[in-house]
Amino acid sequence: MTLNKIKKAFDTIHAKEELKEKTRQYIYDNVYNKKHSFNKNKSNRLVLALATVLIMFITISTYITPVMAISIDSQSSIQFEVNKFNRVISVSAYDDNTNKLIQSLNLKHSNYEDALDLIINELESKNIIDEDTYVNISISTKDNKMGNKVLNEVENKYKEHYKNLNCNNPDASYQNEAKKHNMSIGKYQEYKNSQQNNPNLSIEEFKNSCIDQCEHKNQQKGKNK
Amino acid sequence: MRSEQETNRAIELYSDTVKRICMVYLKNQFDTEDIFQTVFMKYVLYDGKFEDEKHEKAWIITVTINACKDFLRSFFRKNSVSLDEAILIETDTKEDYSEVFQAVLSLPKKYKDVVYLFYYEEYTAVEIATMLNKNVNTIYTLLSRARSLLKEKLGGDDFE
Repeated sequence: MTLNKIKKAFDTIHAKEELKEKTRQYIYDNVYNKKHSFNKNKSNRLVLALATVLIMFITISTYITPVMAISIDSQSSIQFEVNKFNRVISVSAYDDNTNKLIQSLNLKHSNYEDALDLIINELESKNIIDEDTYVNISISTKDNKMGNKVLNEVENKYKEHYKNLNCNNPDASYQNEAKKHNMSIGKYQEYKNSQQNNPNLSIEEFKNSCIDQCEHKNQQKGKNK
Repeated sequence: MRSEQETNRAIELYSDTVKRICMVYLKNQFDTEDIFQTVFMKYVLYDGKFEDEKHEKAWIITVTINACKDFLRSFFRKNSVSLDEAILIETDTKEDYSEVFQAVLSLPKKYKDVVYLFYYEEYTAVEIATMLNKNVNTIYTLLSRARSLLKEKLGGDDFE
């Protein structure tokens, strides 16, 4: 009888619905909801990381892709390539002395206008060019609008100082050919012009002469015709 | 980790058992809430498999008893005095059984869980020994002394 009473007494004890609900809520808040929000955060973080990588990839690709080549040709030739952000991404010279010169200038990543100023000042300070020297500045780009704008800016900036300044926009398709023959785009353009007067002119012969000599020859041949 | 569905089933199925054990050990509603959260959180995070419902229930009982013991041992509990300490039986128990509850709950701590497990849950002394991690003979001794005490308090001869 007494044992039965103990059993019956404990049988009357029940957990209230409120207590069960509080426990369910506690477990949900601390386990399942956290797990969901963790997964949500995890996927958000993954998307963000992928977007960051993609943006970085696009930015880096854009930064290292040249959209314009500018060459300065006189007794020596220097060419630099410029990206969409108007920054210099590569500089080339075609003889040892000029190579040393451009290395000392540290032109990479500078604005193309500053780079052009630095090169011209350095060439002048080393007496490679002066106000009477024939200076050819070529701006080659597939973007005609950009090409014309830069051409006008450069021409306006230097034409007062250099009497024999020639600024031009060579065909962008010449860039690969010029690279293949290890020449600046400006000098390759001059070669193409010279070839019109002298179809037998070899590229090697042309390569070894200065652009001012070539220009002089062109002018002479033009006069003779 | 167990699914939400499994957890809801366990809460529904074992809440009364957890509540009864809490009543044996603890004396107020807020402490019971803590134990519920501890026990079912452990259940959610337990990766082991249960052979059957009996095994699962035994696991719940063991975890609840340990949680209650841990709670009573806790620094906070030892160093605080609850106003509810004086309330021996919760208000939702039936008046008819208050004498029985008084008798069981006023037993020394070491007898209460044994009495509950033996008389209410109907576990054998061997099973109780495993659950409480005690020697079987100790369980027999505890049961025998608890019977004597209950007999004194409640009278009757069916404790033998």
